[in-house]
Amino acid sequence: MKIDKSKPIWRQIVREIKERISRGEIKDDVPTVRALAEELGVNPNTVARAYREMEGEGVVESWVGKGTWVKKGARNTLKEKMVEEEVEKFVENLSSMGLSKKEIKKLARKIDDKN
Amino acid sequence: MIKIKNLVKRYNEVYAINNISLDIEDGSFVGLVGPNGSGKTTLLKLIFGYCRPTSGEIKIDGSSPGVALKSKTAFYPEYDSTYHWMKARDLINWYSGFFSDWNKEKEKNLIDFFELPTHRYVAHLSKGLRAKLKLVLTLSRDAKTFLLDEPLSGIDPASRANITSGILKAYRERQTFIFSTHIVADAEMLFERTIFMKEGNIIIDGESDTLREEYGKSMEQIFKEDIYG
Repeated sequence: MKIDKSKPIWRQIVREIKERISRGEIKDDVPTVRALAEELGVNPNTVARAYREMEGEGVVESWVGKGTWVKKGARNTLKEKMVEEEVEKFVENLSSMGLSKKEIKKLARKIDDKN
Repeated sequence: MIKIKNLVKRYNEVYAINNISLDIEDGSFVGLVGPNGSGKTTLLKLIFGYCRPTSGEIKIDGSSPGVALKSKTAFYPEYDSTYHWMKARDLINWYSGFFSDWNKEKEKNLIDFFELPTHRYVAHLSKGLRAKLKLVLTLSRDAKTFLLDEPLSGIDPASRANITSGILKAYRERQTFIFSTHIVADAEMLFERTIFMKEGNIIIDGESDTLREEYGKSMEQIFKEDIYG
């Protein structure tokens, strides 16, 4: 994971863990706060803050002494949400280039054929 | 909890610390960032009790710095150790005898992590290894507060990550760490909170991630553009 030090680090950790969950790299247990802090070279309290945020969003659950794990069904919800976000970004970028929704749809179908 | 109120330290006509007020919560990891001569070392020395304030006060859990608190506070000095005639191992054994909170396991882990050749004489260690030895001496204790004065100064860029990883490994969430540095890039991700000093004053003080959001800059960029510049 590449960290951009000019942006809040805890937000980047939230993003990274969500991506790892949606890719299926993290299935059950989320790395412990300390392990991830040492892996990334960041303060453990920063990691803990990211985990608290994800717990609030219902992505992970944690129990004192038991660690943190992915909540049931969270992977699918996350994936859907992240795909939605990416599609929105895609449409927004192309719209700003002057493409209409119709043209974008046409473009998307073309991608489908190619792959 | 460290509570500092209207702290002033004057050496003859020079104000090393110019009316600083500051609270540091237990368990926070604070970066004290500023150019040389900005008062960082003086502030750490005052907190440790190496010197006394000209005016104002410092309270650590309600008491003034002094002998009783030194047993709960570990200080990493920027100056080099003078025990060059000892072997690193003997120095560690001798030094550890002074502290009832010495943690043998931490000592071993740090020596392994830093790959410190403890059989060698201190005089024969490189500057980087002597810094690591000093870190072993400071961090192997289970102190409540750790004051690290410029642990990255004189360390070549390639070894800095190793030093900061070692410090991170030794850090426990309930301990308070204050880490002074003028080399920001290699250490800023350790700092939950960053305090920027200049000419004996605090210029910017905030949670590092909040500052990143507000300024859209890294701590290093804030230091270069808003403090130094």
